[in-house]
Amino acid sequence: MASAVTSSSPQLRSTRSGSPLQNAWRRLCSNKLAVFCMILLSVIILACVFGPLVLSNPNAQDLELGATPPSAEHWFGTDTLGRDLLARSLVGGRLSLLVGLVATTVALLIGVTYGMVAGYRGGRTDSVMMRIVDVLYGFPFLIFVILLTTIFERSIYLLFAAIGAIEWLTMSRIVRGQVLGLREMEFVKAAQVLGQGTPQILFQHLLPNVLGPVIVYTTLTVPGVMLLEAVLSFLGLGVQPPDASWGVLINEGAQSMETYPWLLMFPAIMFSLTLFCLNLIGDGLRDAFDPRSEK
Amino acid sequence: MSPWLRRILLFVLLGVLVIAFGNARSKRATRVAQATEDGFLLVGNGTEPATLDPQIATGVPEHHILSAIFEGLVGDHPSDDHQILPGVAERWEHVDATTWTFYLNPEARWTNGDSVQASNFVYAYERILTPKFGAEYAKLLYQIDGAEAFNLGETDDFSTVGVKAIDERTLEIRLVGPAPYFPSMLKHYAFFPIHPPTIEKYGAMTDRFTAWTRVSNMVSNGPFTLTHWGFGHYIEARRSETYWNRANVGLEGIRFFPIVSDTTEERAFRDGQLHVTNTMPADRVAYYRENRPDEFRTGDGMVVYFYRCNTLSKEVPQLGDVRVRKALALAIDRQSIVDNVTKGGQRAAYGLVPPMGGDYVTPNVLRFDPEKARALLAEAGYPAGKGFPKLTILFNTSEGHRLIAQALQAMWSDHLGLEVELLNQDWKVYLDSQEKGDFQVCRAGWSADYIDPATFLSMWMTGNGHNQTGWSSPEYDELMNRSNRTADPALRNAIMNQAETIFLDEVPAIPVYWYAINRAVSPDVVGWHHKLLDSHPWQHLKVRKAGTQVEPVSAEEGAPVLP
Amino acid sequence: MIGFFVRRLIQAVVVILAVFTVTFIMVRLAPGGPFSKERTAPPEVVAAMEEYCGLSDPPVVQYFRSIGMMLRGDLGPSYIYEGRTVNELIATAFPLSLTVGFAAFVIAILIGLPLGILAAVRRNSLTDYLAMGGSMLGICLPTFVLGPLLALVFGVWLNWFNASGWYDGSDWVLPALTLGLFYAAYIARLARAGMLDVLSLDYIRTARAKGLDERSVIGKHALKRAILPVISFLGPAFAGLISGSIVIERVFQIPGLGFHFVGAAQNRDYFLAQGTVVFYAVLIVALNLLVDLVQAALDPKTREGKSDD
Repeated sequence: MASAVTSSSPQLRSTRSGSPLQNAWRRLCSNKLAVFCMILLSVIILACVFGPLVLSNPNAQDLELGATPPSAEHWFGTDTLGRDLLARSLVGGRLSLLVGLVATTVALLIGVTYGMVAGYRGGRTDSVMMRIVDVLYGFPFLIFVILLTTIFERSIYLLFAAIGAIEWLTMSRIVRGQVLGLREMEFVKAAQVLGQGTPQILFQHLLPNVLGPVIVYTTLTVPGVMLLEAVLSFLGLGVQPPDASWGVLINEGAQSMETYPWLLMFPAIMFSLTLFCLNLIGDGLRDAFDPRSEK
Repeated sequence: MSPWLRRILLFVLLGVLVIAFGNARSKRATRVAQATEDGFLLVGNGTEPATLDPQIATGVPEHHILSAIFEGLVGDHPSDDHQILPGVAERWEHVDATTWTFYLNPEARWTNGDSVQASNFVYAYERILTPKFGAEYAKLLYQIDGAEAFNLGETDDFSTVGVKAIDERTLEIRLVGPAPYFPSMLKHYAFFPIHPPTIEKYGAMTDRFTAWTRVSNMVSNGPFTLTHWGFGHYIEARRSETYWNRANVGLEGIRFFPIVSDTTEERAFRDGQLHVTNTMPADRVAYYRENRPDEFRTGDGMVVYFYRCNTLSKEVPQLGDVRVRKALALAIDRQSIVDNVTKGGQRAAYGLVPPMGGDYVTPNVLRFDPEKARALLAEAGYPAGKGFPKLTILFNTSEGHRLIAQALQAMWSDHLGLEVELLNQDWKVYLDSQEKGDFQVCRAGWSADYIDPATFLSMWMTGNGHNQTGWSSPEYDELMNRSNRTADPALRNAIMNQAETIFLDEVPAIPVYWYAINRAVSPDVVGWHHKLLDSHPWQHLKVRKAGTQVEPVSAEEGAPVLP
Repeated sequence: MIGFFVRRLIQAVVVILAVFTVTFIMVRLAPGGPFSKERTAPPEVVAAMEEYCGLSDPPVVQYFRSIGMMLRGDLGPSYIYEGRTVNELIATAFPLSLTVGFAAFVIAILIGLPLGILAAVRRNSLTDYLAMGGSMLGICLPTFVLGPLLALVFGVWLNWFNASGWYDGSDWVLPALTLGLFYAAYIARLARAGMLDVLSLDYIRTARAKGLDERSVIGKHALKRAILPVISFLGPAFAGLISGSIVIERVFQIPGLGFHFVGAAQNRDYFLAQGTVVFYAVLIVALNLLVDLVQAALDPKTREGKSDD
């Protein structure tokens, strides 16, 4: 029964979990480019998490050494205070990835909940909620983030909250769209007839079925978040020293781009590579979950 | 035609177009070349000026422009900070110990043709000293008898203040003390005259936010006139046809470009967009020294970079203990910071007052002595930093300050075993924190307003608004007050030296280094000299295509020069 | 259609008011004010200044006064740049941002759209991979990396353009290119996706089956539908161009609006900060309205209020 349902209405997923996700996973794994990117991303993440434990202290200054190009001792070279760039890049990666993860989670929580409520309720509630989203969607939040960071003492938590509060919009739209389609389905009507409460319907029945697009867009939100953090750091509003994120390192590198080009190159390459992988994996996931649009 | 052939032809065509375009573009005349031909000087000027009202302005970018469009009683010498030239006043005399009389040049005119009168100065000083006008540089005029009382609102009768227009061409100024350096103070824009009818046309004398400084409204008296003010874009001043010494003004005009980022500015210079830059990024200094030495100008600057200690801090009351502060001061390897961090020719500070090239000798007290530092800290009760609370270094957001703060953090941690944290705040927040005493140790800088040690020493007296450390020493105050009453320069220097020694022994603020002024100057510019106060009288400069001959503009024309 | 327009208009006004209120509160919450400077004036003097500027009145009074002023089109005086009004500053700065933004937009469309459509039509060919690879690169390289890079290559090394500043007629090129390429990448991907979606639809296959020429298939039928996702992207794209301009203006030293905004926030120039934000809000709301109208004209579904995901 389950397979007959899935083949004729691709949007429907049975609430018995496993099968559609497994299908998607299989499809993803056959996408060679996505697999390659997943491996690369894992390598980067592992390096950022465990690398600094093995390598030299990224905060150890060596003023007399100053900035030196890549060498056997310092694979990425050193910065103007004599700090090993490889260690700093990995530690910076930790922070960038952390911001990416946490802010995306914040966005996820807000967006999914909002979208599900709007889609399920429908009618006026939905209309109003989506109007709000439409309106917020077009606004340059960078401006408010700038105001926020100049007012409050800069902290990493502020960054999480501020960035997360910007990125939830697309998620809510996607989820709402999905839910709109789903709530007319029979299994939902059956649950309503059985007298199940709204929260239960939302989380037990609907949520598993929107998982697909949510996963896809989460993967695509992370690079957006990381980019936003980098922009804030570039404007001097992001992370505080001596902590560094890739954004901070890129900014420092861009300042001395002509004299010490490696200071820009390595963090920029790592950053771009990570974004690249995330985007491609996201694309791959999108294809995997929605085989209709074969790319 | 086969598709491959078509593609190849397309690429070739594209390539040819690109090369032709590139060729045409790269051969275009640089802005500097055109400007030199027209006799215009292109100057990088840091930030956009907040105002061009001489009594309201406070910054260096404003100073550079104001010195082009206005002129004070005295003029600046192109190469020697200790000499002064005639300005609006063609000569002056020291009538008695505290009184000076200035005789104005009858040819001195405003841009609308009116002659510059002594009463214009009186009007300007009343304006700046009026309390509700809120001028920040009013304090500079406190040397004038009665000025402080008037500015603090103790009296509202301006005739009690020691400036008087004896007649249209004669100005008498009576001072509080002997102040032998007073005439050189007059180079500062706070002392510039203004044109009363223009001010009154756009508001009352002490109204702020008026429109008189707009290009179409402004009336000034300097070698150049304001002709264009493109906000955030550039400011242009052209040679004035009413200036008394216009025959000797070398430039046709000046354009000031507000370029905030020093890396952008340096790129602009290399691009041929500027004759003179405002500064030089630290990491380009070595490159210029090696590859373009003719274009690189460096020299000492009269600015001290220091860290204030909040001696009344509640979180770290240990900062009230002089041994702790001395330990902090001794644990800083200033030479290393100057050599490895700032790298721009700055000098490690061994005292507070940067050497000014005059007769004052800065006491040689500060040094790098980690052993002694540790001993002092132990004596204060914190051997190897044990038990010492976490120390937070505050600085305003900037790459340069960040690097230095990080270096300091490492030094205090390594040599003293202290736990140090960094905190950076935006400029306004940082200023607010300093003012409220909401800091433990914070970075600061102070630049000289005039060429005398008092400009660095008077701020540490009890109750001075710029002290902001909570430190107070009656002996210091007494010495500084005495120096104000001393006429003999040698004796005065000796007294100030004593005062500075007290300051350096107690280090309520810890000097780190003395600035260097680094600029890139195009070989097209003639007559550019390094100045300690970084003020460049623009009328003595000329531009000509490098390699062509031209007579340098002579500065010593006419009047006597008084130290 | 009229009802739709009116609803959107009311929404617009609400948004602008909300934006203003939030900004008003935020700038005043920040520590430090426009008159805290390094060379401190005595507190009495600062107090006098604040009273002169109306800053000593209670916030509520200031709030309504500001709104009143805005309704008359007066955005107030700047505190930091004495003698200048916010209207004046915006009038000077905005045309610069507009030029760069508009040029970037045009570049983004001119490069992105054809690229995306071409890639869709020649799916899985070399052209497709190159185009998509290039666009991926565009998305992953932030503007503040690309900008200095372009400035270095074309400005300093090749000397084709000025590396920064806004003095010659050609100074818009590099900034617009930096910003434009970024959005071209997004547009290319969207166009390609939209095109592919449409091309696989039944009625296209029918047209092909009928033997219609490939060009007319693409041109007439597919294009119109394929452009829809690009148009719905335009709303956030405009917003993005505005934010992007803040970074670009910092990199290329262009005295545009974004540049002033950051300065205003940092220097607590209340009226300038509020005025800039309100100005942006009005701009974006107006542009979004326009985009919605265009979308409604092209796609009847939107008119009925069903938004597509």
